[in-house]
Amino acid sequence: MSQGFYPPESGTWSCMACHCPLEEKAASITYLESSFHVTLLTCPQCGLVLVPEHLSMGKMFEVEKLLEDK
Amino acid sequence: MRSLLTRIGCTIEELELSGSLAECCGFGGLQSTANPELSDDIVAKRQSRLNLPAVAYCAMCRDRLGNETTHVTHLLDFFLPLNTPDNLYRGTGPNLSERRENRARLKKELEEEIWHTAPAPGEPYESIHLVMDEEVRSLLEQRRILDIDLQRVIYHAETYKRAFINQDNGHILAGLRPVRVTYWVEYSKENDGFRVHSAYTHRMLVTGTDSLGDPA
Ligand SMILES: [Zn+2]
Repeated sequence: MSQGFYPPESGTWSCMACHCPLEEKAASITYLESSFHVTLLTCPQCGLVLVPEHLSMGKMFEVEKLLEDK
Repeated sequence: MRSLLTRIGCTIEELELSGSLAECCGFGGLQSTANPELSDDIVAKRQSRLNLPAVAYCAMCRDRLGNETTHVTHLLDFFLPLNTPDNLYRGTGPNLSERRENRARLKKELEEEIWHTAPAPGEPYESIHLVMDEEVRSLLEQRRILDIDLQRVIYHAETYKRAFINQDNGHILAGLRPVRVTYWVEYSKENDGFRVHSAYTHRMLVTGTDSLGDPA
């Protein structure tokens, strides 16, 4: 998984609690002792991170399968 | 099976392929999970060879092969005391969430009527009422996501305000990891319930997302 930026495919998203627009921020993803960094939309105030559907069902799913088969 | 059915007056016709040549319902070895397309092909093929109402003794055969056009009844149904020949169940099997709810209901009934133990108190998220169209339902089936998974996420999001909101259409997106899988639900409020637009999962752990037990 590259360090790419993965925003949701559509929509203008903000944090429901903090009411502020989201910002691009590095997030770390770990699975079965491997870890990666990607850039995801994040709430600058509370730090909540948005994992979009296409990343979850696409790249993350592929990497999960690869690591499980190792 | 044949002698039980004969004893209650059924006339049996053997399938073209039976005994050691019997076809599988596509569930065996969890094929329906490992290769759903192949499994659906096998089901369709087998259904096409069932010209009469069929009887199955395996619960998975019953549920995978039975639907509104191919009638399949479970052997046990012929012998349960409250059943009559007219009310035997032979239609479409339950979806994943209905299956889980059936088990929970059976356990509750056994607790109340047979074991006389106090039923476990209900979880607060069980009050979350879900609405979704057929397309979303079949996506969730395919992704193996249960209603209870969605209820947990929405309850958490609504209780702790841990979610995102799409300014364009008002949809809410929330994620939660109860144990090993993180569930995400895109939903909106509708009357007294929540309309589910999509849901997805990942096993990888992402920093900045919520797990059960550590809201905010
Ligand atoms: Zn926030």
